[in-house]
Amino acid sequence: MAPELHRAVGRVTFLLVALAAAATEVAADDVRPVGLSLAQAAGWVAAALVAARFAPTPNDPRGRPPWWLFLLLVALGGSTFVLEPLRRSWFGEGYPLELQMVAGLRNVGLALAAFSGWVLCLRLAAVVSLFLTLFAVAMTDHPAVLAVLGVYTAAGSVWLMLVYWAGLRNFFVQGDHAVSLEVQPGRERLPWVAVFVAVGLVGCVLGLIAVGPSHAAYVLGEWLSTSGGTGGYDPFARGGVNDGDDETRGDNAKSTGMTQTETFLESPLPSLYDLISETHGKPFKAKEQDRAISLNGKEKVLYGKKKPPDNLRPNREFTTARRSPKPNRDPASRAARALFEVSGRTPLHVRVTAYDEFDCAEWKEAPFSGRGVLLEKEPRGYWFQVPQRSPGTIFSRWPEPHQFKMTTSRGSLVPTPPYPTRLRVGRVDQADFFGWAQEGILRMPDRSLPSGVIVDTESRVVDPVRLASASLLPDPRAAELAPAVDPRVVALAREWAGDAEGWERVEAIRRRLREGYTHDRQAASPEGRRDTLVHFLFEARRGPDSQFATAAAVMLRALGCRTRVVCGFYAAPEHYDPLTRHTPVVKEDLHFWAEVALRSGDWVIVEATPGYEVLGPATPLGERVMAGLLTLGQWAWDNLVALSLLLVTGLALRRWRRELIDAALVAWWRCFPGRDWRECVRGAVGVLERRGRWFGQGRPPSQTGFAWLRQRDELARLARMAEWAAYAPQLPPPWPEGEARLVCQQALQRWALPRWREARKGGVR
Amino acid sequence: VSDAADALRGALNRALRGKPQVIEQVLACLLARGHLLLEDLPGLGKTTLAKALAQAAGGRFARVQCTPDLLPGDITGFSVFNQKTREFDFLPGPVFADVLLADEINRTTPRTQSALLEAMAERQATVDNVRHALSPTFFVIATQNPVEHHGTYPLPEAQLDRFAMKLSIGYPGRDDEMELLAAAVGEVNGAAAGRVLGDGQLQALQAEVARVAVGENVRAYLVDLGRSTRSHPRVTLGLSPRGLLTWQRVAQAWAYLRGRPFVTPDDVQEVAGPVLGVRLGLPPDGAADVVRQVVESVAVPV
Repeated sequence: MAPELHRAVGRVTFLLVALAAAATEVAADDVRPVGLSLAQAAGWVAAALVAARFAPTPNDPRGRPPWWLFLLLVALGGSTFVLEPLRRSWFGEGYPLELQMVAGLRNVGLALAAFSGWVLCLRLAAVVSLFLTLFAVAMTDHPAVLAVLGVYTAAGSVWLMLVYWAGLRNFFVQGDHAVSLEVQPGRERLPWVAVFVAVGLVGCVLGLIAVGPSHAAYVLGEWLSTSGGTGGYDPFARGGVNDGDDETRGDNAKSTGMTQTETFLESPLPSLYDLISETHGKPFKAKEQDRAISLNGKEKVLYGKKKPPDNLRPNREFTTARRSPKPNRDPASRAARALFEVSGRTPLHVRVTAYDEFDCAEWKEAPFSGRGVLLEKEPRGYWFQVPQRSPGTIFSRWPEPHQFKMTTSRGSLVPTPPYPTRLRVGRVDQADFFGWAQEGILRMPDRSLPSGVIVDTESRVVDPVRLASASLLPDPRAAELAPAVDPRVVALAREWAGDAEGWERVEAIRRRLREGYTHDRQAASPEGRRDTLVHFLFEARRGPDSQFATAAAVMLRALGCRTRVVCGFYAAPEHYDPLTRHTPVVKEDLHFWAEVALRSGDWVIVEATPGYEVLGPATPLGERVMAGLLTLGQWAWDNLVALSLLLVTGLALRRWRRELIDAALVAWWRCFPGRDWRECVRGAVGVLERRGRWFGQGRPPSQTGFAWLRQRDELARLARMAEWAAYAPQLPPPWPEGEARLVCQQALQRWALPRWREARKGGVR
Repeated sequence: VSDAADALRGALNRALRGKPQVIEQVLACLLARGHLLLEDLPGLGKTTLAKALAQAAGGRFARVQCTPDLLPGDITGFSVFNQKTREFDFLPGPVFADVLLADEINRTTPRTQSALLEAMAERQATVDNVRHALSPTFFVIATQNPVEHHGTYPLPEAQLDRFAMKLSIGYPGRDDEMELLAAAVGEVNGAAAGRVLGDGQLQALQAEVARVAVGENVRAYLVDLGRSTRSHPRVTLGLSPRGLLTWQRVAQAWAYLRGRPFVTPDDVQEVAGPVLGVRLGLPPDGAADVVRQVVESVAVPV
């Protein structure tokens, strides 16, 4: 191969390996930001570039690489396995076995590319890059990997072209190198090894096709210790039943986690009321207990009729002759981190219970409205349509998809976004499985949603802009509030609302609550006091979210709006886990908020608690970019003076950067001219060389300083000194040593920057 | 530079007009104790130069016209039986001169060419198992004709490596030719150049050249250059360590002729063409290009 062609092929090979490294890095952890993966890949490639810089150049590129290179490759390939335990123990993160292997192979590929002076290394590097790229593509469908694949394909085409051309070059020999070829008569020997390998490969492919690709892939997958086939458990496994914490689809509902399963379980599980007590504290009985409240006959407590599971019963016998216990590999034995996980945009309010009547201290659950219409099943699939009563003028146009993955059953609750339009619960295909608990709150009456089921929903999102023109539903019971609620609360509500009408009233109350009060989860009302709302509004001015919700609901009710308080879950965006791409909802996310009814029949969330937000409509990319630009523009306008100063300074620095750097260098040279005259001269020549380089007259690397300086007027003497300084070993100079500094100073003054500029215009002089 | 070197330069410049650069290189070659291969067309002054050099340096001059029937003994000398003394007497051949002009060296057989090997490399000749030392300032100027290839025996690489330089004199300029003609009017035998160096003076000069300092960075530069010739794709035969030594010595001579007590990379570069041209396997059409590439591929130390 011609050397320049070999170099070109080497560079393209390096590019291929770099692309493969990037693709592998992205595929290895496709949930982190792409930039981070690419930066990490760039780090590896940079290390390889440094190694390539120091890699020896072979005398015979087609020869055998040195033996130590083989050792180096083995060490690099195996390094990942050695480092993995350290990585797991120090950083708490790790790669599954197959990614460790791929990382080792990537190291080998980069090392081969760094030593691509040898043709063998170069070709192996290309093969490794191809494997890595295909692996990355098979591993993930991340768009960045596809983009890298595109670039890789283009670079690979160039690589093939160059290699082909390099092969052709052997036929086009320069005249002086041409020799006559002597053709050996006789039969060519068959390359038996190649024939056997080819036959073996074809046989393997045919066998795979005969057995069936999926089965073959399954069998092959069993070989990997992290695939589940070997029975090992790896917390960092990417897939496979029982392998890692990210379990995958399986047939048995008990053996798998996040799957869409049709199996439903019935078991007595903790109710929502336990949860409220846990997160919001236990209620106390108020002193003035003068009312008796009867249980609602419709509300029945459901008990499991089965006997408790065997594993909850104590053993009756105990023998000491036992086998060693085996670790429990049942996924159910690993505790879920959340009640359910939400996939989709957050913040999201998930209604659980709505409260309607308020007697100054207690909210009573709203009765089932009875107006709810059952869901309508779509002809195909398991999707149900939620009948919409309202025209939907307050909603944005685009449907909002969400997925709720139930990890811990919470009774009959079917988690949905506030305004669902379609939903699918596993493979439930009967509409009568569902019922409305209260308006907008879906339940599965008499059933529990089992762990592991996935609820897919599509919902509408309230557009705050359209909300401004919405008309509120008046509450005929507003007048009844007076005896139950302190008149000061009503007066405060009127004061806050002022002259505002319609939705503006709601906004006014909400804003005052959010701005003037502090959210404090631990704040409690004084023991035994009933008028907690008065205490919150006028005395403590801090409290839990239930107080905010109560205050908003009661005050709006006092202004004549129809309101209710809703208890539910709040999927907080700050809890989003990029690793799983889900937002876990834990019991601490239990939240209270107020809702206002519109004439259209929709209940609109009024989030009065500071720190909590309501999901807004998804903004198109163009609008977001525009908004970003506008914000940027606004910021620029606000900081116009500082920015202008910065710009002017930047431009000035750019304009006079050479003068500034040169002045600094000359000043440095004057202050620290060196220990002897040689260093003094070298420093001055260095300054002159930099000046020359700036103006296109730099010294070529193969030219001596003497030859370069000699071309210029008035620098002959300095040239001679430079020559002595550089090459005369320990010889006393034929001039007084003090003279050197003087000559250097003169040279620096005479050949200052303007003169170099002129010299560029008028040729060297 | 000593006066002796200046005088030698002047004498040679008078003998060969209009070629100061060639004279300088020939002088460097002589002071470096190297041998010179002149590759040029007939009639350009090769013999004149060799004779002038021999006369100016005060040595004996011998000339061998190489032909295919020339035998090694014709060069080294041979023993003849002396009837009177009943012993073999050694009759020294032309190698025992101080300056030997081997004209058209590629016309003689490899056997005869090889006879020169020992003389050039070790400055001795072995005849009939008896070793005869040659003059300490023994200097070979060999010529070959670049045009004709028929009936020639190209010098083997081993032989070429014994030469310090390969030079071409080339045609003189117009003015020089005018002067040449003017000087020839009235001349019958040609003007003999006078002797300018005394006994042992050339040897002293050569010893002085050997003492010219070579800094460590310059030595490293030379080594890097040598290695780059070995890895250059168009060079079929790289520089040998002997070649590297020769290059350093010629660079020393060049620095000496410049009046400098130390060698600079400029010296190394300026003699690179003739020094590398004789010993590297270079493509005939692009030798200068390759040498330039080699020189440019290595950064000079500063």
